[in-house]
Amino acid sequence: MPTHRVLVAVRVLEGESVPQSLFELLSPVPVVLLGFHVVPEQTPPAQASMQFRERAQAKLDELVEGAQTAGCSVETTLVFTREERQSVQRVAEETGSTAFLLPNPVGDVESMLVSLRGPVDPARLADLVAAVAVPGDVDVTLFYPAVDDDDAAVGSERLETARRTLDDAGADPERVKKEVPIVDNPLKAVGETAAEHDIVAMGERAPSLEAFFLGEDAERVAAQSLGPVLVLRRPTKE
Amino acid sequence: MEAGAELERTVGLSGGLAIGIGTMIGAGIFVFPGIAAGYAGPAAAGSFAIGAVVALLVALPTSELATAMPRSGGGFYFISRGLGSLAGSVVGVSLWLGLIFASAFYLVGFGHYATAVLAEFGLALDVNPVTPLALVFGVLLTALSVTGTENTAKLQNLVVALLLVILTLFLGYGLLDAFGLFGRSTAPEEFAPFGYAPMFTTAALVFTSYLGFAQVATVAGEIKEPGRNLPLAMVGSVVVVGVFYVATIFVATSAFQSARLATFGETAMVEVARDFVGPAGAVVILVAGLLATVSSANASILSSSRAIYALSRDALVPRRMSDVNLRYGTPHVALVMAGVPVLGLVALGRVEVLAEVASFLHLLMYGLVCVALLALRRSRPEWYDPDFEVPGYPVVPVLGALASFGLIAFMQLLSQVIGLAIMVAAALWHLYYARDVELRGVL
Repeated sequence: MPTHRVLVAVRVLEGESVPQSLFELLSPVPVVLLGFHVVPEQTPPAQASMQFRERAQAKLDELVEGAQTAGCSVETTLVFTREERQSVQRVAEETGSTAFLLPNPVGDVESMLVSLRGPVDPARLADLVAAVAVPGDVDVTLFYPAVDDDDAAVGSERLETARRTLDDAGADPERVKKEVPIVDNPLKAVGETAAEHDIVAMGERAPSLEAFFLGEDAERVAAQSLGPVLVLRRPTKE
Repeated sequence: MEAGAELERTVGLSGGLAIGIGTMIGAGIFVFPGIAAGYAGPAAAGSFAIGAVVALLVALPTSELATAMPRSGGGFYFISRGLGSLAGSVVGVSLWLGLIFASAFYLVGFGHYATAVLAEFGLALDVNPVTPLALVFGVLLTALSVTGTENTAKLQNLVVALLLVILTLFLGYGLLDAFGLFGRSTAPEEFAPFGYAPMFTTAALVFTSYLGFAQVATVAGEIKEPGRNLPLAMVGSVVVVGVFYVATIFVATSAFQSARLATFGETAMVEVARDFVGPAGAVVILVAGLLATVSSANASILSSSRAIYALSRDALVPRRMSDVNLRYGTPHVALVMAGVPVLGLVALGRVEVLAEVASFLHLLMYGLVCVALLALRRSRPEWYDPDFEVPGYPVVPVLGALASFGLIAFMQLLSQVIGLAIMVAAALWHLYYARDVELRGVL
């Protein structure tokens, strides 16, 4: 599997920051730090850049220092934009990033919840998890909230694939748990269970009407868990 | 591109067309037909056609320059790089004020439509509500812009699409009616009952209806694939609105004698609609008129703020004028600097003078853009590499310059005097504040 590269997008002029513990978690993989600022339609991005570029760059430099102290290898970009999503996707494409991190506040990262619901490839997600959790001695809970018994059977298989990948990557079997509960609302279950862990890892879904109105899955989980979310990007067509 | 930070391009072809068409369609259809017919009779259709030709003659050179220099700022940018900073100052300040005059014009148009709505509901007021209504909405628009109200762009696109649908239906019906398909008799009238000279002076008056296409160039820095989308959006929007305008005059003068049409004033189209389809038609056109004028006013206010930004970026006016606040993310200084003069002009309420001065100042820029193209093509600096080249060089830009300056000659004296005074004031400001600024060829 190719090396993972994680994109961390930060609103540098709105006081958003990245907890040091997340940089420590990410230190085994290359990191792209994207500092961005969203401007309203009344303002050409160039105008905001003219006024705030220095300040934004200074903030970004602070974050880079923190990342490097934690042992990360970091590349950075600063973007002024009207459309956050478009910019993040574009930079992810250009840098070859395989995952995003939603950098919400967290203390030490000791326990990770890995959600294997949705169209994500269990082996790819497990590979990403292994890349950061194994060197960091993080406890991993493989999670598949099922809607019924048939679904639970599917889930168990996916969990087994993931567990094998983690094994091959050298994970301590004592640190890997599996859970396949039956629930009413799987996405909500992920968010609720995430409260018991320090970070969630999950996959990205293709754009849909539901996502348009209610927000991306990862954002909804982050809103509930209030913690960081590591999102594996959908594979780009070769 | 600002060194060190990336600037996202988020405007597509449809966005560009919406900007062009959306800015233009407010005036041409909803404010001018009655007035224009009053001056020139059915030949007013020719006036609009003349305007379209002039606009196209200018749109083509503007497209070439915009693809060579796809930075926000439009005409001002091309002129300052092609002809130097004094020309840049004069054009930039004139353009800024031209947009302010245009905004005031649209707001007064809105005031007339809002008044017509009240009249439709049978509300008779002691005082003429046109100006107060226009003022209230002027304040509202400025406040909405300063507080960074989102989605006005998406709303504007929706409004433009809706307007085009309404107008297509209305004009389609009107054309069929004019050709006698519905068996009604039409108002017979010779094409140019007042002679042909008024066709030209009216062309100068109604040229405000074509002031939107260059707006597309002002967002050149934010358009995706500018080499392809800029020319398409500019030329496309002129062609589309030109066809609509000519059809509108044709339909309107088929419904009523031009003298009668003129008595309806700014809201003549409402009466035309009423004549075709009854009160329902009148209401639809009233709503369309409100939407069109308000969205044009909003677009012009935002463009004037961009003009200030372009000037201050080149140090021709103080930097502080393009300050952006972090609370709303908007250029509040420039927006207020637009809003206050707009309100002042609205209070004076003379629609025709507002329109002509706005046209004057824009035509000045258009003519100079053509001259700038000729200058840049003659000197061909190495950085000058447009993706789109003007067909018919040098005829097109030369004609464009002559037509633009020529149209100014047909305006009423008061408008010419005001326009000239503004140019002189801008030149004096330049000599006072920005004499040392070198801009020719500076990218």
